Amino acid sequence: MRRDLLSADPVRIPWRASDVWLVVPDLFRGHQPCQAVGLERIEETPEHLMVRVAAGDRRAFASLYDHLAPAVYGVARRVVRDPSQAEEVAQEVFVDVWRHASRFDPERASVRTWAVTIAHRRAVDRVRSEQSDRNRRERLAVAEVDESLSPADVVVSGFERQEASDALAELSDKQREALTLAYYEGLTQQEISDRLDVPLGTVKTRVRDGLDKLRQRLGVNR
Amino acid sequence: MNDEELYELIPLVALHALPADELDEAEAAIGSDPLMRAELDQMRALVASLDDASDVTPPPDLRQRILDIVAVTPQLDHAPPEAKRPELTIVEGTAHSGPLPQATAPRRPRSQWLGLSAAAAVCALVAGMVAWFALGGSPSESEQIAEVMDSSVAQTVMLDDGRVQGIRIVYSPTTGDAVLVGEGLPEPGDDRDYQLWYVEGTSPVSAGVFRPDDDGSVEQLIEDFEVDGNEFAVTEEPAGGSEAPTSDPIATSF
Repeated sequence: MRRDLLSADPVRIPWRASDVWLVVPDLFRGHQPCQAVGLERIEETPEHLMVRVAAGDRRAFASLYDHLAPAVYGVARRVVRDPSQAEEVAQEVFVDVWRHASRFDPERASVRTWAVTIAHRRAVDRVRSEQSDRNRRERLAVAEVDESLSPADVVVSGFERQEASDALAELSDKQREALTLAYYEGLTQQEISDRLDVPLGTVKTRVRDGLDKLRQRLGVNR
Repeated sequence: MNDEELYELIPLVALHALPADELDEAEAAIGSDPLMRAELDQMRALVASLDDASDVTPPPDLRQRILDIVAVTPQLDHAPPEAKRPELTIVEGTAHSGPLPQATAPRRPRSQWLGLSAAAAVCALVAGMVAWFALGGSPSESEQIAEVMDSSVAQTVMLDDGRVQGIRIVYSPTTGDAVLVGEGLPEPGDDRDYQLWYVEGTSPVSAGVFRPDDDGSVEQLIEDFEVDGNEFAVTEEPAGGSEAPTSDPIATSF
């Protein structure tokens, strides 16, 4: 019924053109008419929504949540593991996104990358602050026997796109190991060095070479 | 730390593989160099893509919990209002002609317009305006109005300065909608409408036109209302409204 209003003979449309144009800046004049779009809600990308969120639009924020929540919660679960702590991390991340929305710079990152980066940092901070060395070791020991969350598997299964898994397969085991220990275990380079019993410089080289190889294969989409 | 050492740290910063204090320090240093910052941004995008298919559906109640917090959480970094009492820029006799007046102070862009492609923005606006003007009284609109009016966290902005009293805007942070409510308003005249303006700094932006009914009352839904940083004003305009105010306000919130 709503659609009929737009596709009908203009004479029957019970609003004046001026009602529409009065809020449309001149910038947009002369662009194609939009009968074809009708009244369906235009699907908005996180980038579109983010502009509105930065202007204080809470409804846009709710839509943004729907776009980003699985990615944000996913990162939190992978890193902190405990579901209730992962929820707390996700909550912190989204409140952060809301409060600092105007800091988002579309030139620097996609909204998804921005949110995932915040989520990963928050998750890593939480793992490091809340775990004493001892129970952190316990946590890692548990993780190693939990096949569904073993670090190597997580990354491999994380790449469903063929090109991504191809690229990952090209990494050496040592490069993949260094990346996953850092990303999914939240280890610092010093901790990785201790854990693998290799010099710091070696960790640094493995991480960089691994990321460089991924970059060559995948290109970079912000 | 020299540039080479800093550059070496970029992958570790992207992976957050440094202690928190070193991470913050390195990130700040990298951020001040455009080339290094671009490299960090690339690395971060790569690292984030590690998670592309490891999305996990969060528990359903998390959404509402977060929205409830956000409903009462102010945003940071908004440009402070330039003037305590903003003034409308009056453009004489320019109904439906000429661009919107330029803001004299930096202001946030109207998000809906800049975030969409031009055509899509026009269409979104048309859709919104059709919903507003053509579907008056439809269940969805009256439900939206009821939701705002019944909200326990609704905020009210009084437009009680000016020669016409009795206009207020009731805003629901939960739905993002507002309702313009007026009682005892004088008839604006056959070829005139009232027009509501957002005023940020010195730049008025139309929020739409309205007419009171025969007994002088109005209850008009304003979807996606933008309350932050704005003051509000109502002017009397030629029927259909103007692109910029052509008369002094009859009521303002400031």
